[in-house]
Amino acid sequence: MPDPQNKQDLVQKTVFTTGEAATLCKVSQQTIIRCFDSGRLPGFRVPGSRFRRIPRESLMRFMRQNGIPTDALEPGAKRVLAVDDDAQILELFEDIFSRDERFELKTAATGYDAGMLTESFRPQLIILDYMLPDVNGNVVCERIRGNDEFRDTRILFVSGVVNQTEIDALLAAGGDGFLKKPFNISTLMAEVERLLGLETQNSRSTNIVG
Amino acid sequence: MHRQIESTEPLDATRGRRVELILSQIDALPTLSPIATRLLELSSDDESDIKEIVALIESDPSLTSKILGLCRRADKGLGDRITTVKHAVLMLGLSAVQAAVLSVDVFELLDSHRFDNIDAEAYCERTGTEGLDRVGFWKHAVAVACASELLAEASPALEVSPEEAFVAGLLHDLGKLVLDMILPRSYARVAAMCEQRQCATADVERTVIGIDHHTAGKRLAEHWSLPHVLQDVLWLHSQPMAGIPDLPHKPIIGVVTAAKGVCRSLLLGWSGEFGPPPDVVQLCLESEIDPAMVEVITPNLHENIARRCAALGIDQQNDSGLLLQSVMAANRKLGRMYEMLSARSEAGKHQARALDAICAFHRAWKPARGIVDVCEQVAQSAISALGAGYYAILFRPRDREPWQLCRFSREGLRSGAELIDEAWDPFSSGNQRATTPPGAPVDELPWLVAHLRDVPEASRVRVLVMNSASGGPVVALVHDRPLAPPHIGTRELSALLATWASAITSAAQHEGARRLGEQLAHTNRSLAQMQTQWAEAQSLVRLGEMASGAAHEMNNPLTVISGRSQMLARAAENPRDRAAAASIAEAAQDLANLITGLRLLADPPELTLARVSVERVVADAAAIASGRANVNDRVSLECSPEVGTVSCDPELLENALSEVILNAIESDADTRVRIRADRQGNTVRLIVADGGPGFTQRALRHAFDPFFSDKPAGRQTGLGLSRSRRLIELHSGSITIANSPGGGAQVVILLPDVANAQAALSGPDNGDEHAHAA
Repeated sequence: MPDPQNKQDLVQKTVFTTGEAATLCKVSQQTIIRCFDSGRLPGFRVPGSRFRRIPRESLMRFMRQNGIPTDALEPGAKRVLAVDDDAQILELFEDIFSRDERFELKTAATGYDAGMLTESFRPQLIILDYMLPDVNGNVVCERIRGNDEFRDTRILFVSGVVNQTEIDALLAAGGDGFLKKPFNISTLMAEVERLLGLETQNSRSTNIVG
Repeated sequence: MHRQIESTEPLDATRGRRVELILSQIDALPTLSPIATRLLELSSDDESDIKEIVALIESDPSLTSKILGLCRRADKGLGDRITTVKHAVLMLGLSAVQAAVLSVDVFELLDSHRFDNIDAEAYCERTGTEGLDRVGFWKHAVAVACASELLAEASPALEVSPEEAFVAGLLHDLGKLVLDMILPRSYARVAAMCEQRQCATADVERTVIGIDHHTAGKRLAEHWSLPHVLQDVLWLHSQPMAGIPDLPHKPIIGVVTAAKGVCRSLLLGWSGEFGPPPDVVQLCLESEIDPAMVEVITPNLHENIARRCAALGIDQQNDSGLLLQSVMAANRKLGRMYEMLSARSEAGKHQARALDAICAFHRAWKPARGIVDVCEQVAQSAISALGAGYYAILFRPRDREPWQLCRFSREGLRSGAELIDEAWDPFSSGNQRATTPPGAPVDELPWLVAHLRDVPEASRVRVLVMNSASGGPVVALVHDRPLAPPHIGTRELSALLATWASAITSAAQHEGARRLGEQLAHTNRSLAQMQTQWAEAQSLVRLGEMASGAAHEMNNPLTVISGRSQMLARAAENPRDRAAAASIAEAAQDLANLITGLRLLADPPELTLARVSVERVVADAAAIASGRANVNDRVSLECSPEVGTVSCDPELLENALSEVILNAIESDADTRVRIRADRQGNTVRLIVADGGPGFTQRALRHAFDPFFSDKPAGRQTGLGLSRSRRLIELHSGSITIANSPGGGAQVVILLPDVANAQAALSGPDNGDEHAHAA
């Protein structure tokens, strides 16, 4: 385990060595090198030498793709945006997330506000209701997905729809997950952790690709 | 001012145009010679004018001789003394010469103006009638002229100039000649019709041509600028005197009318009139002529006519010849009249027979009888109206349907009926003969002959179509009678045929209507059934719509209740508080599940088909139900070996079956549930029976309604069987509930195995043995 000082340094870096990547991913350096060589972890070699280097964005994506918690790279609270037209539900979300230091929550009641906050707040996760007063959730989702800047933003639909066809349509619009209302809070948190690549509070995810 | 009498007869547009055409043709006829025109202009006995006229006439030798011939009058004893035109003018006065010139001119003009009369002659030949007889016409004209002249002379009180009367008499019927010249064919028809009907000519002219000879004559007179007196004579002669307005020329009109009456009664020439000759005495009285004068003028009439005819070059004949001719004409007319009368009496007999037959037919006809009965009645009617013989009736209710053939004995009793599938169209151009009496020889229809086994002599049998329009029902009479005049009149035959055809057609329509009525009743019954089903489906749809609308409204509050209670449960330090909060959360979840169930009931998911073992699906369902009811060893499953696999959505089918099984388990505290599965062809049958109290009457009616329950109040109700039925119907299956004879409830589920045929080819794959449900 790297000492906290070292870890703090890593947070600042934009390019990583295979050893640093191995530390962040909590896997062996050999695994990182294999992934680099097979092209699954894109990077470059230092000109004039054979040293492998991995850009920060590439490493982030690799970690997310393989379900490796990224909190080592992105310390501090995760930005979460909850969008729902029901003020009481937004309050519920605020209550749930305010008790957990890992999150910073903002809320929006309309599709328009959701768009504005996505620009300014740059949430890492959006919890999106389907029925909104102005534009429906799937449209909001498509707009966010249409912007390359937010391609790493996770979107979780939380809605009352029950028909599988409708659920499939929401996922096809770019949703990363779906949760039916009313929801079990534990289920919600597990889904949020999964999407944000956080270590679950109960058990650690270790399904690393070999 | 010349007065006109407006015709009051309304003319339609076509006829109006035709009349205009005729009138314009009249206007296109040649005009009078310059001599006649000049003569007509002279009004006084001016010496210089007379000299000029005399010179003009004498310059034309043939005209001169004719005029001198006309002016010779035996009765005046002047005949031989008049040798020059000037002499004639001096002896007889200008008006006499004027009349003579006009007569000659008009005669020559019209008689020489020959039209092509081939059409008219052909028509006359075909119909056995005579058209306008020109020689006879002129003879009649001269006769009327002479008679008018003599009557005028004999009645000085009328102050009618004999010369003027002569011209007027000569020209009175010019209109007929004109019409004959312009429309020879139509006029021949007019003459024939008048002769057949023995009626006045003018009416027929108006019917056939559009205008009568009075109008045509008047128009010609105007065209030729004849004196007004002549125009009026042409226009108004032969009309009842009382109906003629009080014109200055009324006396001369009366003279000509009376003269014509005299000539017609003496049959002098061809008058073109066929009505009964008028009463001469009456005519004379109306025209204020002494009837005795008729007797006075008659002896001189023939001689006068013969002379004038000779002068005009009509038929060189002496007066006795003319007399003889008129006697012969009278004989001919009598002969024709006799023929016509006997023909009429024959026709009358036919008509009476046909009428009797039609009446008898109608008396016997009842509207509600079947086609075959009506056909039999037609056959009997035919025997009485057309005589005994061979009859059959060929009938087709609609286009492209098979023909129905009814055969009859010689007594008109039904001897057989059959259907013949043959596409014979009697109205196609090649089969025209079948629609005109006596019909087409049956030899031409071999398909029909094959069915007429009892025909005595096929060569004499004919097929006559009885109704005349294609498209609707066709009725044909198969017969061996000579159905043509003189055996039966054409009109009588067509009346009979039409009566019979419409009786058969209406019987057919009646049968069709009855059939339709039965179909309608059947349709009504199934409609009533469908309406019940539809009402049920409709209530499901409404429920779904309501549930969808409610879901969003209910889900958000439920989310708050559920979320908040979970938060409370987490925060509660007291275990009782935690349990209370948790139960709120659970209740909210139950409600949410119910809403989901309702929405899926109304808007079910699509099936994801897979071929699975029936036994396995049932066993899984039994396991789910047992789990929910928290029981063990209460459900048994018997699968007959041939059940095999079925194509279904395994998850939804299990879901459906488990509700049914659960319902059975819960029917009684410790009942056993027996499930039997077997297969009948492509249908898998599942029977779920329990030993409970069975369904109540209310349950039998409402078991599939959402939220219906016969369980004690407070027990969970839910969507149970209604959801089952919905899911089974999604599989095109059916579910019915009943009570077993031996007690307990029994639910029967039938599932069509649509893809079974394919499965049979690929072989059974139900090797996956599964334990019976616990």
